[in-house]
Amino acid sequence: MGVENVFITEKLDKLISWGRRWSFWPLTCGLACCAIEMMAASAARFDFARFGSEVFRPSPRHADVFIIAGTLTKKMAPVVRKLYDQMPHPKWVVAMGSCAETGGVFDTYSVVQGVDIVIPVDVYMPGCAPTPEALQYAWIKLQDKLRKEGSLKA
Amino acid sequence: MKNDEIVGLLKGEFGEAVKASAELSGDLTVKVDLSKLHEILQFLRSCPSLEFDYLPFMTAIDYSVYPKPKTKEAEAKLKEVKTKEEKIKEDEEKLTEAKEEEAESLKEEIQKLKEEIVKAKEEAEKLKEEAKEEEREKQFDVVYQLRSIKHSHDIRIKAEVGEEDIVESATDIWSSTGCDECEIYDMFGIKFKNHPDLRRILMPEDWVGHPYRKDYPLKGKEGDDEYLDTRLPEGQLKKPEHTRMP
Ligand code: SF4
Repeated sequence: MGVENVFITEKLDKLISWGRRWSFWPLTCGLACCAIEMMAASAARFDFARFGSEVFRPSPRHADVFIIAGTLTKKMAPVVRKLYDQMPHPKWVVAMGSCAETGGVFDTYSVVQGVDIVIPVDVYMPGCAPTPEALQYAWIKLQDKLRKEGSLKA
Repeated sequence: MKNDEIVGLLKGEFGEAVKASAELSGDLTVKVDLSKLHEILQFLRSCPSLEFDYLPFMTAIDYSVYPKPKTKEAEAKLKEVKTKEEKIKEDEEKLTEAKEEEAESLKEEIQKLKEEIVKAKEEAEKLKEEAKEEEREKQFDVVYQLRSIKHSHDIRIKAEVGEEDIVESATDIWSSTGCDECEIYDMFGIKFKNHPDLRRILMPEDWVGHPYRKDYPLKGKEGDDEYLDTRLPEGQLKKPEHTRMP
């Protein structure tokens, strides 16, 4: 950025991060059963709109949060990496469920043992499947991260 | 149509090519010869009194580590005979030193054991005969589960297939076998001819090996990591291995 004054950028970052953390736009990408819980979280009962995140974007170019909801197979891994690369900065990744975290119960030839092999992850979220509340908790954690670290560098 | 009528009809039409048939709780399974498989399927589909118009699924089975229960039983029986023979030897040794009263009972025991041995040997022979059924020449079975909606009867067709054999595709009879055959080709490595588009359907197209074979390691082979390594940008790998090797 052109602004050199640390005081101004800090304050500006705070303001921008405040805006960003209440308007995450997740990418519509469900890989396995966890995606069902992700859908439930965005539906009326759990209501993701309270976090300003109800807009699931079908294009990675509009999104800034990537929820890896489900089992990542080796065949899918290059595709997920490509989607991640297509998202504009700033971007964050939530690994939802045991499968996305570590491969979960699928310790097999075809499953990537943790999505952090393929893309960097900000929030890990255990559970099989995690409840919609857990996804919202992860969301709060992500907001915490933005509050503490700002978002201009992300 | 009753199950035995179906088998009778098939045997009358194809004779030797229908190798065996079995029934388990009403389910009919017929084993056929691979060379006649396509003709038999065609017949099952077109014969007006059979008319199997619906194929619920088709799959394959790898028998390379099949447990063979009867062979094992026969071996166990022979082992029993051996232990009994040893016991007889022990008893005979005791007999030379024993007093009169004990000798009587020992003799009786030996007699009993000898009778048991004869019986066990006979049983073992019988089991061995039966165990011959379990011996297979080829590694795989392809399985067709068929159902006739019109006549409401089912049949399961099996044919032994080796690794080098090429099965004739049944896509011209039931087009739903297209995907099943792709999957069998992908997971077992059995090839089909006359298939319109035979390629890997579950694993990546350049994957090495066929995962449903029994000798395929569950947690992956050594070279598997290369698949990701070549496709991800450099410097992105956090762990040395993508698979948790034991
Ligand atoms: S963590 Fe459980 S619910 Fe989620 S994708 Fe894996 S198996 Fe499915």
